[in-house]
Amino acid sequence: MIELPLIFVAGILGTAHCLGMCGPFALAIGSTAPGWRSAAQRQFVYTAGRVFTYGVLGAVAGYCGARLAHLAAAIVNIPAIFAVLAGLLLVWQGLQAAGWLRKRGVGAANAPCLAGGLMGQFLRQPGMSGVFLAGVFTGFLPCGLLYGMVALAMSTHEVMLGATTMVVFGLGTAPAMILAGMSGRIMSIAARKWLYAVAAWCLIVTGVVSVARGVSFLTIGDKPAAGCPLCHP
Amino acid sequence: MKNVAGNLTIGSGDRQRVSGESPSAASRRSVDDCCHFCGLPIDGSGNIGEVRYCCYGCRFAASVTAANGDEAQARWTMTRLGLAVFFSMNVMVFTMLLWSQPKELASPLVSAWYELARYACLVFTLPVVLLLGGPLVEDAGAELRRGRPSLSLLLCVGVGAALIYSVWSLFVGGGHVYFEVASTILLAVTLGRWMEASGKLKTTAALRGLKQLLPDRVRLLRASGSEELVDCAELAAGDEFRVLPGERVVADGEIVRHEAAVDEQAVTGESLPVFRRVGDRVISGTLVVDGPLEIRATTAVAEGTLARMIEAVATATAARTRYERLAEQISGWFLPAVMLVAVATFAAHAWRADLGNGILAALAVLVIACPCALGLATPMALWAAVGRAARAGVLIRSGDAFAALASAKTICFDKTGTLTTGEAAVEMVVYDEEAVESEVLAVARALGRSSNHPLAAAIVRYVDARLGSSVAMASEIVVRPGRGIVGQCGEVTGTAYLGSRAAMAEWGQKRADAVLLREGDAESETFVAWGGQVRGRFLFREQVRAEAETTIRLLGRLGLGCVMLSGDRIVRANALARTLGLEWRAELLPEMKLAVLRELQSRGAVVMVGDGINDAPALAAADVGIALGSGTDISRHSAQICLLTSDLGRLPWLVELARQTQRTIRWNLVWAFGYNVIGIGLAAAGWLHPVVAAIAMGLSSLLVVTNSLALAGSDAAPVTEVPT
Repeated sequence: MIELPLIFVAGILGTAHCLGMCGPFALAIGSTAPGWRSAAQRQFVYTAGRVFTYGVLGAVAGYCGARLAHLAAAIVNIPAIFAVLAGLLLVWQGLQAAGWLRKRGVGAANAPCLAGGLMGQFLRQPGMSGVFLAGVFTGFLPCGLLYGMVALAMSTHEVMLGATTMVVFGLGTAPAMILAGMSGRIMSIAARKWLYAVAAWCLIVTGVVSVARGVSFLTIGDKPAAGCPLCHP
Repeated sequence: MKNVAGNLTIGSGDRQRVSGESPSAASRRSVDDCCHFCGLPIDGSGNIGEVRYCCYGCRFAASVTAANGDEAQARWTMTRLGLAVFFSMNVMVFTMLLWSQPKELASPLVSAWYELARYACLVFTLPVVLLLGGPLVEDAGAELRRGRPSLSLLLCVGVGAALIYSVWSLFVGGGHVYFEVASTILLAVTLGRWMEASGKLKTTAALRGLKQLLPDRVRLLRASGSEELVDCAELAAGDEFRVLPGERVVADGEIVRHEAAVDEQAVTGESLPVFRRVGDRVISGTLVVDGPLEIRATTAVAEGTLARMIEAVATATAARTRYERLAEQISGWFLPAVMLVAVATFAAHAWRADLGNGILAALAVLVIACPCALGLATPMALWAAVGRAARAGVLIRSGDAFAALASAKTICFDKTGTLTTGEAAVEMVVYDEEAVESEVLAVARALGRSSNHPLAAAIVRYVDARLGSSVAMASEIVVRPGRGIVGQCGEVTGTAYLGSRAAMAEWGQKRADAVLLREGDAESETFVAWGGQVRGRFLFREQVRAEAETTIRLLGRLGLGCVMLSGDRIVRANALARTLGLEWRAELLPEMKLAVLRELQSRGAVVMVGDGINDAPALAAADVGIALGSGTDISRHSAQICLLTSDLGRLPWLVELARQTQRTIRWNLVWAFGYNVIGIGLAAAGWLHPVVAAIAMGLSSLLVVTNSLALAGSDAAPVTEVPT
């Protein structure tokens, strides 16, 4: 899995994307903390909740990928198709982030928040369990980057591998989110812009790798693992 | 214009009789039989003061939203739900690991790994059961104590069976474990019902909005002149109170001091503020825009217009409609049938495959068979529509009548006060050659002031305008129903008379030919006479409502046949009907109106629109009675639907709303019923996993809820004119 480090980097840099949507939650989590230590604690617990959800989503995606692969094995190579789809989705996200594709409809910050009402309930709670649950529900927020990653996890067609992919991605998003939540504005606007551009490129690269992997699966046939030069080093 | 006959005669006895004959009295439920959370009616009766919920969702939602004011409990409920989600997610991951377990295991180590996952499922399922099982068991218990089995009970049994079987196979049997089924079903049921409850809460929002129009406290003016802020309940009829600008009037009353613009939109739907001065009536729930008002209450708060309006709407929604009765009948045998199917399914699958399969299939049957959507289908849509109508100043007091409106073929209008404003205006006065003009006018006014008959009122207005206002009244007044008024006036010696052509002859008042001219014209008339001689003849014209023509055209476009029923003379009816472009029947006595209605009813349901007082029998006899401009006095009408304003333009909109509601209800019922039948079939065959069933059930209810809420949200204003 040469992608795992790449996914981690995509996570780290993709945070620029996440901050717009999940940043306010992170800030809210930190805002009620009395001291620096407690704020950090809350941020870590919150992130743990988020990464947990990503892991579960990855596991579910992996399982679904496996089922689909099993069901349709005779006809098409499902994981390969998912790898291609996920790759395309990520490239699209990357292009959007880089500003080469016009975003349609409302921006991510205005996107309807499915878990919003629920989140608010937990964000207002003082205890750590509330913080953790807020993290858990944040993980379900609709997000293009996340969809791309879930599709990628699906293409692993294994429960544990899918979960690992998503956890690595989640951990990648952790540092910036924690820092953002701690300080609010740890990065200057210029730095954020720069990071955003790099993140966009990282997404595109991850996407292209995924597409390449999928295409090689498709062309090489039923023994993908052995045939893929990029998957198993 | 109606003959004087029908008009002066409405006695209080008549009103009593009419209001006693409520259309839905038989199927009425008291307002106490409503859910504590969403306000929807509940079956069966509870003990007085007992807090009851219509469903598990409302019980849960009430605890989440701290409906009882307990914030800490609300927070705990939320945390409980959140933790249950977290644990269920864990269960899910381990279950999927188990599902993807290969047939042959590579090594004992791998095998132990999978065994561990089985235990992990149990470990993570138990908290979910503890966190969410409680309320479900509680709900089942509450229903059971009331002596009836419930779906909650069946679900408890099903989930319990799945759990016990799984534990048994984990420790003893070595078969499949179904922990994920238990946790997911508990979670899906809880979340789904909660969502339903929130939806129901939204449908009743309009009614709660009405209730919020009444302030809690009132500035009571003591006899000493001091002002005191007291609880509303303390205000009695006859008390005076002050309303400051921006505040709402608490009780119906009459202004005793000051004047102000009053915004009545919330109550009557009338969008422009009206100017009210001393002596004018104000309605509870209206907003005083500028300047303070001091008002003498004519009713206690609980008997005010708004309070009765709320009561009327609540009663309508509490009454069962035809579709609801149908749904109830179905639900009646639904639960036993589901139980039978579940038991049969269990037996068949347990015998054919194994115990685990049997439990799973039976559980799927129970989950998918939840008749929530079926029970919600009608009341949800109806409540939403009734609330929507109430916001537009239309009170629907009977769901059945509202349904009939959707399928009505003919709509009948009373003429006076309905198609016309009912406010006659004096067009001209013909005087006897010897009569003194001012004398005739003064006598007519003095007599007319003692009657609230529209023609008398028109005379008073006319004379006031001509001679300047005066409050002089006749003495020894006798109102002769159907004929006119007799009394003594200061201006003339002897008895003076004001009344119809027939009455003049009866009272021996002779008429000069000049006064009798234009007998066949299209106007109504009233005579004034004294000393054996008719002195003058008032001729009136009717004012057709501005929106009448458009309304008739729009209703025609909706496929309704419009017929005008009038007790008036043929010439006049014909003239009016021609301008408006509708069918007409004239010179109808009240009982003849009923006969016409019956004849029209052979074509299909008939709507009768009237001003609610003179047409009471016709309104009651029609399939749908719509009373117009009932404004401040809604409770005396026999009509099932009351328009608070006199805006006929609401009618086409109302018909559209009724049809839309009907479509929504039918669609809801078809969906809910079809979904249940197909779902149960699939589940009984063992083709439906309980987890999928739980999700499908939630989606089904959500569909019904959102479908119905679309009615409440339709913000289209009542149509008064459409582009042609």
